[in-house]
Amino acid sequence: MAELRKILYADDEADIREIVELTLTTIGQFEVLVCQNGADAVEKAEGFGADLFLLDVMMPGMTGPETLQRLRRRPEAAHTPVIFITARAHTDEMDELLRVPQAGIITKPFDPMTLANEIKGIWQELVAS
Amino acid sequence: MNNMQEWQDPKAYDVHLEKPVTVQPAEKSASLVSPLFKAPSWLQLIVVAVVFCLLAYGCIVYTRESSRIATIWIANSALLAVLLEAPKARKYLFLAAAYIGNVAANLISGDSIPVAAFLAMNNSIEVLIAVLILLRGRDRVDLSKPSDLLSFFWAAGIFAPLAAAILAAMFLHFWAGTGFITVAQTWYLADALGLLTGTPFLIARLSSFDKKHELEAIRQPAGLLLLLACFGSTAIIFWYSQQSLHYLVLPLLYLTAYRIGLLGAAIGNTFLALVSIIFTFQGHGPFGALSADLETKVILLQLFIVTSALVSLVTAAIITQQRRMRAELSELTRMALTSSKAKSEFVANMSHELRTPLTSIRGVLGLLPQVLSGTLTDQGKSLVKIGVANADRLLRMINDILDTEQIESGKISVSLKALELGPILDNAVDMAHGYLPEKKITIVKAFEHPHLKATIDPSRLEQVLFNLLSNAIKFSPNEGTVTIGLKEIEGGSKVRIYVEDNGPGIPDSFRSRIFQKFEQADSGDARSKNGSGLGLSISKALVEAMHGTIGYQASAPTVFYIDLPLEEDQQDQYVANTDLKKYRTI
Repeated sequence: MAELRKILYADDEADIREIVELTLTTIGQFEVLVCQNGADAVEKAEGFGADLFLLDVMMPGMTGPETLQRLRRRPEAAHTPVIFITARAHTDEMDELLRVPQAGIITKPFDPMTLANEIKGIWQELVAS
Repeated sequence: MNNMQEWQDPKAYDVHLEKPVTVQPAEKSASLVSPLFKAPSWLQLIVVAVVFCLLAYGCIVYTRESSRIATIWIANSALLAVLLEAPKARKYLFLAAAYIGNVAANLISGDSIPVAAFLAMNNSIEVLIAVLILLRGRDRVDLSKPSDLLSFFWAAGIFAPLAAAILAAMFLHFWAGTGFITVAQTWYLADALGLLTGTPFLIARLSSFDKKHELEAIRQPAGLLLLLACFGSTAIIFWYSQQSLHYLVLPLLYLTAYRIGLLGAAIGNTFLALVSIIFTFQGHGPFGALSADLETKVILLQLFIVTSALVSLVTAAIITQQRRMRAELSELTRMALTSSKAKSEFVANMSHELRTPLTSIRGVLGLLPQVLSGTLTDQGKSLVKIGVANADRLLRMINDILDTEQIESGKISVSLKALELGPILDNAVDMAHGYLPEKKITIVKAFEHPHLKATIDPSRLEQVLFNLLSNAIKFSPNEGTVTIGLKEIEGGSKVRIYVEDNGPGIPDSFRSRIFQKFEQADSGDARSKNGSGLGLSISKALVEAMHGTIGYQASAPTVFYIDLPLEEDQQDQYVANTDLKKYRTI
């Protein structure tokens, strides 16, 4: 099975960005491209070759699902799995997010010590399906 | 992904409360005499004096017959309407103006000055009594209210005309030697009937809401047809009928009041009064054909008109009242729905807003031991642990509030799958291990058949089990034991998951409220036992959403259990196994 190495991560909350980046790089040992919002992610994505998109859902300008749509327009990223990070815990909203192909969800707040493993687990499931 | 679009808009984060709405649909209302008060004040007084004079003169000249008293007296009904509607400060000016008009009419029709002055004063007293009784410190009378209608009947139909009739009869008896009873009777009947018939229509106050509704009822073919039928039957009966068939106009008149309301009652009765009085004076119709003098005919006719007016007015008042109540009710329902929607949205948004900083706090606390590894003292580690435990506790409360809101608004949804229960119970136990670790509780697993399957939502069932386990841990003594078990019940048709603790049991007083929101065994103790008091009510709703039931054994040891229908293929398997055992035994 392929290994998860490169994660493109977009979140508009600076504090959470710092925590997630620290977690993913130190605990998960991933290579992380950190983006400040959806537009930033679309701009930086080219050439990075992400194995996974990790996107906050509620971002100003472009929401997580919208960002994903733009990111997946490029043929090489058309099937890249995505994990949405959301603070909205309404079941119907989660169901809607899960209707996006190749998508998983992590809800805020998360435990930074287990976040990397959780992401790896979801990614493996998505890749296997 | 429509609601994703919505999140893009910063305004979507705000809770929009709709502007306050007026529940009472009656905003602006006007009666038939209302236009009078828009004229210059000097003109208002002249109009009142002249109109009173003309009405009084008409009634005296055309209906007085042999006695000194008119048999139809509508002048007072117009004055009463004006006084009931007039601004407080001007009421007495209008009374004075009408008095002058009345004296003038009496003089023109041949009364001597003292008689003219006294009889006019008597009219003023009558109207004044009615006004004082009806207003009693209020600003106006609303005849669409049955209670106001009743006091109107009492004041204008009985007390005021009776008092004036007695005064007039006494005066004329001593002054001119007229028969006391005859004068009193004629005065009373003419005035009471005049007041009861005329005033309600002049002061009938239709709000724009009522007016719109009633005009619409007239515009509809059925309403228009009904009104025309009512006019037609009234005209035919009071022109052609030589027998007492006048009661035949009533069904259509009441039906009109019922369907069209106050406006229908007003139009129908005004038409009836005009047509019947004109035709009766010309000797036509049931009253015109009577072999009696005109005075008797007119009194009998007025009795009929007043009865029909009263009954149709009451009908219309009740109908109007009901219609207003229905409108208020639907307005209140709409407001309730709006505010419930706003509340849902608010809770969802607040939950989001609270989770974001909580994510940072939880993240920082979680990473501290990692980042400071080596330099963090035991005391520091212990402080971080307290921070983590409290951040988790805060999160559980936020989740509980969100769940409760979803349950209340009927939005709670479960995604059901047929799954083995053992691993789900294992997960819940793992989660519970981190709960109040200082109590050193041992969690014992007693799974009879860990592979039993039920149709459940795994994360929701984990949530319910964590809730039962954390309650059990909370109420167990330190170093106590909590047991979580799984077994078949009811001959293998159901599976029971139970959580047992060796705590003090559930107090009697709490048992009936145990699954209610915000209830805790001892509310004074809520802080030390912590929690929102929502856990069991949420658990109940979630278990029921999974087609299961939740229950408890209250006396120590406390047992909470969840019964879920066993998956059908498992039931078959169970039966097959049982049969096999039997076979082997044989």
